[in-house]
Amino acid sequence: MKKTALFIFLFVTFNKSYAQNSLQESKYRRSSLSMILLETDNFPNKEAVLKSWNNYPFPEKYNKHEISVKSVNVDALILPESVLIDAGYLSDTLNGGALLKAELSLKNLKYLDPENKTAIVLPSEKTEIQLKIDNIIKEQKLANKIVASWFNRQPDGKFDMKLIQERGFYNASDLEASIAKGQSKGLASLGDAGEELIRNSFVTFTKLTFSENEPIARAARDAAQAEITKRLASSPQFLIDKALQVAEKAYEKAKEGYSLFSKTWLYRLNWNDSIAAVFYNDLWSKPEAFETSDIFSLEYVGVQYNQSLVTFKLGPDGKDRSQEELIDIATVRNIDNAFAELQKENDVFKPRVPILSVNPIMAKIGMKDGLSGGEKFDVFEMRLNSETGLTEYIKVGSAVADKKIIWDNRYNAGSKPEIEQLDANGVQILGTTFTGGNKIQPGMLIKLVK
Amino acid sequence: MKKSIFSVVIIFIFFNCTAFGQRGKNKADKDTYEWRYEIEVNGVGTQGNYQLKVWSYSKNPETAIEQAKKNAVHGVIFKGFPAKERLRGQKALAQSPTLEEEKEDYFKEFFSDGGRFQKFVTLTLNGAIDPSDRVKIGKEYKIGVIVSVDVAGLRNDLEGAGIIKPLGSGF
Repeated sequence: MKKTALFIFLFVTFNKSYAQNSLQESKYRRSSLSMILLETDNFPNKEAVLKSWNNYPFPEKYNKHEISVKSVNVDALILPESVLIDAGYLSDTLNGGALLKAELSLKNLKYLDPENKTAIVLPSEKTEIQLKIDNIIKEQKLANKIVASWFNRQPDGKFDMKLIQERGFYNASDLEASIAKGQSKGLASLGDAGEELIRNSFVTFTKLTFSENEPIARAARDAAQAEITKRLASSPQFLIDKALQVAEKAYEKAKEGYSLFSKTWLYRLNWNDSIAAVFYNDLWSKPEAFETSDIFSLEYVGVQYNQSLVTFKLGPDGKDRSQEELIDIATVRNIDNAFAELQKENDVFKPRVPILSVNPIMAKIGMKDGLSGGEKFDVFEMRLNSETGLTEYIKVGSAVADKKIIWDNRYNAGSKPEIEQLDANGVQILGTTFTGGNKIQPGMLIKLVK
Repeated sequence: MKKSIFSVVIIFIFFNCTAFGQRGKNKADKDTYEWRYEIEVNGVGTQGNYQLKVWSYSKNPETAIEQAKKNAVHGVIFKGFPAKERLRGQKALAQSPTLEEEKEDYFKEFFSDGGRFQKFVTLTLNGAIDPSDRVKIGKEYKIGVIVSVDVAGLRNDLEGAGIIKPLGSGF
């Protein structure tokens, strides 16, 4: 009996591993991403929000780049005066006409006397958060942490090439050997690793704000009802009742769910040949020097503001969604939208997506990635430059996303897609199809044209 | 007169198309029969099935993809493949290094287009190719295609045809 059970166990395990091999994800060099949450004190449903953030399905078109900093309480962070002065604040005292002008343009002011006759300009909320992010990057040495993670820094300060090898699909022993032989040779062999992998390291800082729709809807209804009562005072009662009913219906419709506001700031690691040379030559074997080094930094790329109105109540199965589900869907979709917009607006952040099949051309990119149909993509193939030894991506064609059917890959809290998409043969759609030249082949990569 | 010019043009076009098609086929066959490929184990299935990644080389990427199946079966018979990580390797089915020359006629037919080799190999993942497995080096492509080879079935077939000796039959 025991033998039979063991046989079944081994058989199932064996077959499972084979199946997993068959379903392995596409291998290609992706950009790397670290995501940091900017927490604030006044979160409604903070626990549900944090739970959703922690379970956020990481964007599969990027490599998850682990660093120890996952979230920062941005409200608790007080900017030092020196930071504000360096940014051009707190320097000029305003009074008279200058103060009036600042007040009229709704500047954030700090009055210096009880009569409000003198004041200094403080940064706006948006600028203040950006300054706080810059401060977090500097104080917590985030750029050093990103570099340390790339080189798998151990507790004793030693680096290795394991992660570079995994993400670049390099031969591990070749890389280790070239580093061991001499820094200059190691550096040369890492040419495309630096350009393609390390340089494309991104960090996002996301601030989320929730507000329930009900108080806003109630305030709108109360205002409308007061106006109706006032304006129709001399009208027959049935007309007043009818108008009040319309306002009540509008309130009932609008009160469900939440409004979610998100702001996502995008930064990129500064990495070039001179920084790489300092790292390999001066810091590779000096843990203390690496920790205190100031040569690593992050550059600001862009910011994206998003608002989601979450008013739907029923799930795809027709059952009511729980409050936690509503928050989860709103959070994930909002962040997905922020990523889609950041990708559209910042060429460096656009992911390359592999072509899975041709006849028709198909790739796993869809509504979650901001596609609505008809978008133009460049098609690239990977070439190895025999002179430099570096890989290059050469444009070999163009493709256009289907104008009618876009793959719906949006998050739906673990449920089925809201609308099951089927093709003309009744087969479920698992990617968006494209039109393009007959030279396009599986294994090429597409990238959205700006 | 017009008719004869028309006929000449048609014959010319037909001749060139045929020649072009033949050149493409010849190119594919040339690339294949140089048997220039690399083979590595990618997964082990049940009942003697192996998932293999075959790296094929050709100036034409379609040729490299098309010939991957032939190359995989050729590799299993004449080269074998080494173990990789926890996946076990397999020695060549051919017990003699000169088997291919000795049974030239048999293998010429076996590996012809539509030949028996097809029975023992299938493309996996619908022929999907990882972007990292498709690279142009100089003027030619190096393309890694994952295929599934029925090694046990292939062995039985070759044994049945008297091409290789059954395991444990001695020399």
